[in-house]
Order: sequence, then C-alpha cells, then structure tokens
Amino acid sequence: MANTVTYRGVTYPQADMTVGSQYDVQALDNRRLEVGNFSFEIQSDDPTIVDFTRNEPLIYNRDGVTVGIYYVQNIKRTGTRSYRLDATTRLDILLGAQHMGGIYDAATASEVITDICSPIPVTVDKAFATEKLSGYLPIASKRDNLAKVLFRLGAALKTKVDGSLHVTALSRRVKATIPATLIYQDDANVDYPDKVTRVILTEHQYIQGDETVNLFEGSTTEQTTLKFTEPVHDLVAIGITVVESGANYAVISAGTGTLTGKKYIHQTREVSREVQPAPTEKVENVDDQTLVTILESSAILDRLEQYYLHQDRIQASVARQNEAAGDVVTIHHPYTGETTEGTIESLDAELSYTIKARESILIGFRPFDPNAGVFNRVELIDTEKDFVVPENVYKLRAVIIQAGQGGESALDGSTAPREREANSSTSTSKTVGKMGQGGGEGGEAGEGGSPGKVLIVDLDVTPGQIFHSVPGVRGEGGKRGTDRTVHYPGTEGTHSTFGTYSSEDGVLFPGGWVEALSGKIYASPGRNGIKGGTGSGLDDQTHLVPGNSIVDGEDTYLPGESFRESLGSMDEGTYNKDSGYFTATVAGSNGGGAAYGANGQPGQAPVVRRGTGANNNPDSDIKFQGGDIGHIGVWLTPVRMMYGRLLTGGNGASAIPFPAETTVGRGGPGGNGGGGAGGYGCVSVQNRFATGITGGSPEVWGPYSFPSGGAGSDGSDGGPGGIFVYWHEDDETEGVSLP
Amino acid sequence: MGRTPIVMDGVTYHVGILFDPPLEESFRIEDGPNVGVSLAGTDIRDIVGTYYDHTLYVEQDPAYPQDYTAFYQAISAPVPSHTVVMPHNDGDITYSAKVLSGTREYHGRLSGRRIWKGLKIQLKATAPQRVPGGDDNG
Repeated sequence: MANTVTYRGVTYPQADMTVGSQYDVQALDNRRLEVGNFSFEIQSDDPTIVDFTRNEPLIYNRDGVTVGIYYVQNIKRTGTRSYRLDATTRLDILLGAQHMGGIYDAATASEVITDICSPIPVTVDKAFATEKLSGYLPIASKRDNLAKVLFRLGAALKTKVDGSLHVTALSRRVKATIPATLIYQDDANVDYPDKVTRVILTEHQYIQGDETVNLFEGSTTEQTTLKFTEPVHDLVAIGITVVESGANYAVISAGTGTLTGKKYIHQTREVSREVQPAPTEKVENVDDQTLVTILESSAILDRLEQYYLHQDRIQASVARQNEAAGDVVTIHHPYTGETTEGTIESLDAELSYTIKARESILIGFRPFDPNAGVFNRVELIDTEKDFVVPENVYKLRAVIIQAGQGGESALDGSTAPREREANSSTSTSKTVGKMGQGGGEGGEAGEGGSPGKVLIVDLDVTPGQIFHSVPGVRGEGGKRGTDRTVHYPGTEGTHSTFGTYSSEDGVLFPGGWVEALSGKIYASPGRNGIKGGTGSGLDDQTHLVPGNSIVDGEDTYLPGESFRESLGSMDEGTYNKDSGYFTATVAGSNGGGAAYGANGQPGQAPVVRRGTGANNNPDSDIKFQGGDIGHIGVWLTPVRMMYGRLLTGGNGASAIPFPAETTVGRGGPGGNGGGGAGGYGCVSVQNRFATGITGGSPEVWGPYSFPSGGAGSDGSDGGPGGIFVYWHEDDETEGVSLP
Repeated sequence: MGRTPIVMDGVTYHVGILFDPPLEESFRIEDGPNVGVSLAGTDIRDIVGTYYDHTLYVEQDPAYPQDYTAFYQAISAPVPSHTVVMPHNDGDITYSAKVLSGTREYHGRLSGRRIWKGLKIQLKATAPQRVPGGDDNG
C-alpha cells in the first residue's frame, strides 16, 4: 500500500516522502467549484528540482494506480535534501483565466463548456452534452462561469488520467463501506447545523430590448477592449471599427468615435420550496444562477431541497480505502452505531502507507439523477380541450396566458402650414410672392396593446387527471373614432383557464415571457404602430426638405414626388411705358408624406407654357388656360398686370393596419399614422419700372386646392390566449412542436 | 577458528565478531504517523515496514591490531549512520544503521599495548528493510 509521485519523469517512492497530504472536495449542491490540492515533501539529491515551471503536472499513484493529476504551483527547499511541492487540481488554472461570458439561446452544454475551458481539453458526458443552455454568463473567471453551467446541469467536474477535464454525473452507487474499525476514535463527531426551512430559486430571462446605451465616446490610440457592466446587443460604431464583440465586450480599433448598443431586458421570477419545518425560519436564496430558466427550476428545486434536507454531517478521520469526494459511502455512525449512507463532500488526507483522511459526509444525501424532473416536453393548448395528464407523469407546470389586448388606433397626418407672404417694393420695383413652408407632420402611431397576464403554477398530478383548458379570446384593435385627435384603445383579451387556475391571478412580464424550449417570446407588449411620414416641404431659404420614408423590414414607403425647380416662368415682358417690365416665377411643389402601406401623393406639377409677352398680346401662347394649375398669366393689352398662382403639395398617404397578432398573449399592434400633407410651393411676380412711372400690378394668387394629411389606421387585434403545459418524460420520443 | 571480519561503509575491518555472547538480531515493525485506535477499539496500523537491528560483540584480531582501533574510531564517529553488512538468515543483509551506543572494557597493558576487550555495539536500522507490498526477500 504505497504512494508514489512522478514528477518530471522521476518517480519518488513512499520511502522518499516524509510528508504528504491531499485535499479533495466536491460541492454537493453544485454551486461552487473548489480547488483540490496535493502537497508532499520528498528527499532528493537533485537541486534542479526547484527550477520548475508553474503548472507542470505531477501524478499521484497509489499501489500503481493513478489517484490524481495535479499541477505544481510552488516548490520550497526545506532541508539539505528536502523539498516541499505544492500542487493543485486543474481548476486552479481555470480560476486564473477570464471568460468573457455572453448571452446564450439554446446553446448546447458541450459548446459552452468547451468554450469556457479552452484551451484545456474537456469532454462532456452524453447525459449533458446536448442539453440546451439559455441565459447569461458575466465576465468572470472560467471557474465561476463553469460552476454556473454545472449548477444548471447538476453535473460534476472530474480530471481524467490524461489531465483533461470531464463533466459527468456523480455516481449514485455505494463506492465504499466504512466500518467502525476504520474510523479513528480521536476526532469523530456529528455536526448538526441550522435547518434550512425554505429554498428560493430565481429563474432568469434575457430579452433583447430597444433601449440604447452609450458604451464608448472619445478617442483611443490603440486597439482597446471595452467591457460592459451589463449585456448589450446590436452594437453600432461610428468613427471606429468593432474588431470583435460579444454581449459583454467589444474590441474596438484605434480612432475617435462612439459605440452604442441596446440593453437586454432581464426578467426574473422566484420559485420556492419548503424544505422542512423548524422553530426558526432559515431561507437559502439562490439568485445568482443566471442559466436557470423555467424549464429546470423545478428539477433544481428538487435537488436543492434534497441537499438542504441532508445537512447533518459525520466528520471523522478514517482509514481511507478508495473513496473520493462526491462518492456515496456507507459508514458506521459514531454514536448510534447504525450503518448509514451518505456522500463525501470533502476529504483531507494525510498520506502514508495507511491514509488517514478527515472526511465530511452528508448523512442521507445521495447525488441526484441530473436529468430527473427537467421538463423536456411541452404542449401548447390554443383551443378549448381537456388536457389529460400523460402516463408516468406526476408533476406538471402550467403557464396560463391571457389573450393580448388590441392595439391603439393611430392619428391622421397633419395639413401643411399655409404659405407666407414675401412682398417688397422700391421706387423702381414691386415684388409680391407666396412662399410655402414645411410639410405636414405625420400622424402619431398607436401604441401596441398590453400583453396578457401570465400565471405559472407547479402541480402535483396523477396520470389520467383531466384539466379542462380554455384559451382566452384576443382583444380587438382600437377603431378610429370621430375625434381624429384621439387614440382609441383596443379591448382587453379574455383570460385563459386551466382547470381551476386562471391567468387572472397572473402577472405581467414587461419584456414578455420566454418559452425556453423554443426560445420564442410570448405575452409581450404589442408592437407600436409606425408614425406617418412628414410631408416634403421648404425651409426658410425655400430649399426642399424631403419628407421621411417609412421602412418596415423589407418594405419601404416613400413621400410623394416633389417638383423643386422653376417649373414655370415667363420671360421678361416688353417694357411698357405705363407699366414697366414684368417677370414671374412659379417654383416647386412638395410631395405628401408616406404612411405604412402607401407612398405619399406627388405634389402638383405645373402646366408649363413658354413664350414672351413681346407684343403684349394677351392671346399669345403664354396665356394659361383657366384650368391650369400653377400658371402665370397676363392681363390686358398692353400688359399692365401679371400674376402667378401657387402650387399646392400632395396629399399624405393613408395608412393600413398591421395584421392581427398571432403570438399567444401578445398585445395587438398599434395603428399606423397617416402621412403629413406636402408643403406648398412658392410663386413670385416682380414689376420693374422707371422712376416716375406708375408701375403695373404684379399679383400672386393662392392655390386652387389644399392638400390633406393621410388617414391613420385602426389598431390591430391582440394575440390569442393559450396554455403551455410542461412535463418530463424519460423516453426518447419527440415533444410537441410549437407553432 | 577464523574470525569473521566486519564490512562497514565499504571497508573490511579485520576484527572478530564474537559468538559467545552471541550476535543478536532483533526486528521491529514500525507504524507511521497514521497509527491509531478505531471506534471499535481495534488498532489501526500504519505499517511503515520491518526493521532488522543487530547487537554484537567485537574482539581484536591479533593479526590486525590496528584494524580494531580503526574500527572503533569509525563506529564511534559522529556521523548519522553507517552502511553495514550483517548476517541474516542464510546470507547477509546490508542496511543503513545508526549506532546508538557502544561499550568496551580496559584490561591493562600487555607488552606496552593497552588491552581492550568486550566491545559491544548496537546497530539500529534507519529505514525498513521490508515494506508493505514489497518483495519478501528480507
């Protein structure tokens, strides 16, 4: 029964080891990953042993069988030939390295674990490899993030003989029997800590939100890694380049600029479990496990309940056999004399021919089946029916969702501001004009309908039990009323029921509720409608200000066409001794605003007739006809009056509503605003004359018509109600697919 | 009768091992630090191994009087241990021994030389000659 240690190709026998110790630990609630260590003192004639490189491996064998591989952290010389080597498990290496975390949406456990442990090779037991992980990991040590993954899975981490890591389940079989004859009598005791009466576990959901957050603004002279305090998505860089990024960080190039992103909405829900009664309540709160979702919380509560139900510990030094931390053993109870079962949570061994190990054993605790109770089947009930509990199912989780409220109606687009006067005169000229202004504002969109309430209940059931299930009826979208300056809300959706349970007793999830098996979001607020586009118009210098386009996915709706050049003009007329010269210009007309579903109407196009008034002939081809728009006319022979008529803008587009919402519990989309009216164009007429001459009569006339804003749309209907029912099945059949 | 020399630290000393009183070989099975008593009252052994120790009497070989003095000087030297070869079973055993004590008697002068007799030395093995799980050729 001898120990040997092999380091740098040299095997040191027991006889060369004066002191040796090994510490092995396994957190049985899976919440921590603690570092094991191994220390020993050897006699050696090789003084170069101190020239070590940190993390060099050493192998601890007992009777020729490898017990563990450790990695050297420190070597001390303690005598002429004595050296003490301190080594740790590979976890210590993971502790010193950082993992950048991220948001995970149904990523496989194998992928996430490999990413965390890299470059250390790791294998994942097939019981866990394809498990889907959803949630969030922060920037933290690799060890801490790996611990979160293992907690979520209920898995343990082992080191294989080749030094690689292995994620596996703790065995539920008894590994060793420890009779009284192997328990040292000097320090055996039984510890009875305070009883935990209740355990609270927090479920987490992360949903992409729309709130923008500034992540960087300024200059950097070299490539820089930015670390975020909370996860973001949809990064937008201006002036700099994002070289690499994740939810928690971005590597940006040198330069000056800004980086923005959008926040995630972090929603939590607490679930709790009574563990045992006690005179004084003691609650254990597990709220930092950000990979726990609705699917596993029940199963994890089962695990935590079992763990906290078995907190009495036998702590004794025993003559160790082959047991290790995490192993199930039977042991002679030091005081009752009965043989009891338990699991070793830690083991502190002094190495010799007989290993004396101080073991801490949780009495009555046995590692759990990691996949037991994890909900892996779901059915969506979207029509009234009787749900029958399947065979071998004794636990259900029902998520009962109220139908969504209809969306709010939208407003019409505005008319355009009327033209302004632009008149001036001198002793030799007189100018009159009408100048259009901006386009009309688009109509305000309606807000999306409120989501349905969500009630989540865990039920102890029996196979064959029936739950009559009635999904709620969707709320209707708000209808535009007679007062076009008011939004009209949609109606509420009705509640869904599952047996005697109703969504009426539920709560609202501001960011929606994530169905974890599919990753889809339900019971979220309806999308807001789209505000109508502003009509095109003119600025103070009569330059065109185009109206905005409406973009929704692949669909784009444009403002109406605008005519901006001097589309109609009359050349300078012949001087008339009574009236002087006349010049007239009709310029521009502006398109109406766009709206969801339609382009804006074009601005008026003038009828252009060109010619001169050289002969002061009122019947010449420059005389416009009465029905022409935006025309310039002359009056009387010889010309003593000239006038122009203002062009008007196009009408704003009328919006169409979004389709009714189909997602369970989601609010209906808001109505879409009508497009604003296009702005008026501009017209001017100038009369110049010699000093002392009485001028003619330049005049500008208003438009024949006035553009109007487009009509806003009604709100759309909300999503229907529904009930998601979860349960666990052991077989390999596929679950019901979700819509 | 020929005298049995002593080989120590690779040096052969022509002295004689007495067989009356006889050379004594003793053994001890030592425990390590993890020895203890169990809850059942039984021993928990931590056997490090078996040590063979020797107690012997040495006399001068008249043919090599100087070896006796040299051996005495060597065996009483302030060093941690010596490598000695001692009779064991039908052969010899070589081991590292620490000398715990030694005595001898002064018997006066003869022909100008001091007569020393009855040198008794105790040799104690510094390491087990047989270890648990080791070969059984000790």
